[in-house]
Amino acid sequence: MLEIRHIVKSFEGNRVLDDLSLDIRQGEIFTLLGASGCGKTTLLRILAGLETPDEGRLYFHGQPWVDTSADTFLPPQKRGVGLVFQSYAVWPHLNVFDNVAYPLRNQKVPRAQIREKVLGILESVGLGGYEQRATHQLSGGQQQRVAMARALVGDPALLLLDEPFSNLDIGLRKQLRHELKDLQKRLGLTVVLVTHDQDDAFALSDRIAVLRAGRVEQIGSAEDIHDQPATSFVQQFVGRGTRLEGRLAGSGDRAWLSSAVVKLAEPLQHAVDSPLTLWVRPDTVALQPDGSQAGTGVRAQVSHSIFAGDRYETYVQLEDGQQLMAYQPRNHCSAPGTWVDVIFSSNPHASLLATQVSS
Amino acid sequence: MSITKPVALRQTSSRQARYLTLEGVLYGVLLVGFLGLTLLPLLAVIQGSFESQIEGAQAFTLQGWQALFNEPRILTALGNTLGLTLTSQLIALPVSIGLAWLLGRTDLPGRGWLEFAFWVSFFLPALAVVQGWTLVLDPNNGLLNRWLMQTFGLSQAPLDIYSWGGIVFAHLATTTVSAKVMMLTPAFKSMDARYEEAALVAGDSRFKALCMVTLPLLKPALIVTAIMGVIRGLESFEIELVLGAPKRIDVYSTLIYDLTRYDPINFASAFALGILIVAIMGLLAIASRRSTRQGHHVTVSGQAKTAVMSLGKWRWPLGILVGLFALLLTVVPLAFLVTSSLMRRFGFFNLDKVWTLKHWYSVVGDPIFMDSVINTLTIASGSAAFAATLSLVVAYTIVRSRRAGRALLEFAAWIPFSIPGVLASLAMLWLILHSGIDWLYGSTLSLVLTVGLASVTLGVQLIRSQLLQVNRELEEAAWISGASAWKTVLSIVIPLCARSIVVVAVMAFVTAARDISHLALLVSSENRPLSMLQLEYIAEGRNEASAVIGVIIALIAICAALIARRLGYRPETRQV
Repeated sequence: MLEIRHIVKSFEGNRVLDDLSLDIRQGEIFTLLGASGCGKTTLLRILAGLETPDEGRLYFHGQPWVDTSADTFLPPQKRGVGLVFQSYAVWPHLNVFDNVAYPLRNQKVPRAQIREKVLGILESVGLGGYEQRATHQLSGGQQQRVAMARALVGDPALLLLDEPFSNLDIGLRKQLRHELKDLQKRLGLTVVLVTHDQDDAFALSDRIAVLRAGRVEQIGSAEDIHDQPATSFVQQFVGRGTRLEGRLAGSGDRAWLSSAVVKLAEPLQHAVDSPLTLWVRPDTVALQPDGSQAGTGVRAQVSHSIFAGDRYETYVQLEDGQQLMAYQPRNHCSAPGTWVDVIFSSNPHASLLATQVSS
Repeated sequence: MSITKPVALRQTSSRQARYLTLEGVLYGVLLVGFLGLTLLPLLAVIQGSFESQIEGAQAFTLQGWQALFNEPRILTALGNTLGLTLTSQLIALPVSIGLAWLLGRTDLPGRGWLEFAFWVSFFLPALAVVQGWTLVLDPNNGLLNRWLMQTFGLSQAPLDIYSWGGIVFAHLATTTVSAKVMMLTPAFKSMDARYEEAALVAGDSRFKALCMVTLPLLKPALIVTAIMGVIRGLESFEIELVLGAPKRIDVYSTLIYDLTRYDPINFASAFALGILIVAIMGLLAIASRRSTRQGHHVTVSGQAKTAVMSLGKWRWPLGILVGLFALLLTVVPLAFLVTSSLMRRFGFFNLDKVWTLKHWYSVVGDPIFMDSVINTLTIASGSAAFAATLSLVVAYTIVRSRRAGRALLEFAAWIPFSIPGVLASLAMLWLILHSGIDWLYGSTLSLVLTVGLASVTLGVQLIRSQLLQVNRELEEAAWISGASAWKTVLSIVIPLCARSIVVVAVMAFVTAARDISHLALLVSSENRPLSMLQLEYIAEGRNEASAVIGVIIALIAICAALIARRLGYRPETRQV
């Protein structure tokens, strides 16, 4: 329902969005995930109408919001979107009720109806009874809810969220993620979420677009992006992992690592013996006692373990000195100094070292 | 699921058309109008300095400039201006630094009240304070002089306020010290105490810590305060007008006043003289701006620790000293002013009936008085509304607009600050006479524009610094909520800046209510305000009547000071 086509945007010569195209579907939570400076907030502001792209088109249900070739620009007032700012932008001179009622008053909704709608939406964001509070009396989480209520009260066709949880502590974050997901299902909202936080992205999204330097690196579900990264950037940016150096072996489907050969997830078309990088997620590595039968031939010595609540994070040193981290269950922690076999439960992805071309 | 109806396609606006919108046109009007308002007086001054004094003679002449360097009177006036300014500033600056340090960094008893006293002094009209002191230091019947003569059997009055030294004293007793204290105390207060403590731990004495650590840290604030002081000193008019007249101690502002009122009238020389001063003040304004920009606000760090230093056994002696000083700036001159307004003849305590309300009755009963009150209120309210509105519009445009030309607005906003009052008055008069807009001549509107414009520089800086603290997302949230740009300004921006807007209005009100220099050459008998009436009474020698008026203006100023204080205004260096 929202078609983003060939958007280009530069600030003072810096290209922030570089020919970016996306489709956002009705009723989904679509997340723009990326490091700061990747252009995700700029894209969100273009969707809201707060920035104009230098080039490109933006169509909503077939209706043009932006089309630079036809000089079309629909101002933010006319787009009927809801936006929750990172700073919440709750107006400090208005109380909770007046903050939330503001969009309805602009739509010239009758008084009685405004009251009914505002109280209803406050109830559904968990702020029932707070309508007369001054906003400076509210906690960060409550201000976030006010911002959410204000964005939702006008029944927006599209809800835009800019790092909505970044200023909150961890516990509140988890709770609000749940509530947002719940609200989105109940109201059938279409949501575009901007975040640099993978946990936000994984917990909420139907689909995720990983952005880098103004371009889309990969679009897919949380699982796709985590387990089948399309590029080495996504691999490194999403989830945890260790980078190991090796050399291409066999017919391009294997790699020399330390003193053994391991199978790759996907073969590389390149000369044998080319240096490459292996990306290994800690949950795909198992450490077996030395000499077990399933061994790959990669041996390592345990250097130390870190207690992480529900598991241990164990650091080992391969025979050639490279370091690797693996998760170990609480009852299977190897003591420092012991030798272990390194087993890959799924084959690692690799990329060529010199060019960093995607695998 | 409820979704708003897709919006109609025709509402989309064309990119090119955006430059021809109502907003675009209004922006153009603002830019041209504001530049005109601020630049035209300056241009008038330059043009006027080359105009011939004889009608019908050649249009362009250097006579005005030649006179500037030939007439000894003009050179003396320039010398006096610089000498008086530098002398009073050199005395005031160290005194103010000491006072600000005591008020801002130490456990001086009653420092909150003392700071408030300096605040009131900052608002008091100079003429009222000077008149209060005149009653004490007049060589003929000043109270202190008479007491000294009686006590020590002197044949001549030892003190004379109508002298060079008297003028310097009057500067110090009016706003020269109090303005500096008002500007420096917040800077001392917000300074991080850890730097000082580090110096003390390192073994420095307290005085050494002040000189080696505190003052260098506050250098930007000190420079701005000093420069502002010099600019204000160069602007000074009414003190010299009243105190310099008997011995003909001219400064350039009183000379401009003379050159344009008494024969031989010489506008060109008056303008040429003005240009010299504008040039000096312009350079100082630029220097001041540069030093605020370069100031690496070390003093206001986020986790600044603001601890007060204990004065120990010096606490009470210093407290009493500062208290006396504060009294001399406020209560003492006002008390004499009130006393004189209530005495049959000031200083004559041996009359049959010493006290009388006669002067109050005669002044207040005179129809001129009510007219003057109404004129003062009209001019002051008009200029408050004008200054606040214009400052808001200009500041908002400077902060938010992305259009070209806002640097011009920023520059133009500084011009009124660099034009001394008398010169602004003269330039406006010149413009009105040359533009042929006769109805503006002597009109209240011309007074409002001239004196209101004088408050615009401070107004723009104040509102601008508040706007910079308003997160842009607060406005964007209103746009997203469907509010137009205009409605956003009215319902979000103005309420969020209400405080500084009201403060600007109050400052402009009190500036206009006590102003003399901006009005001096424009006022007519129909719209003469209280301040001009007071000046006239002084000129006529009706000291008791002028004291009555002085008390009334001082009361208006004190009310304004209280309101502005209530609203939390602090004249900080970065705002100017």
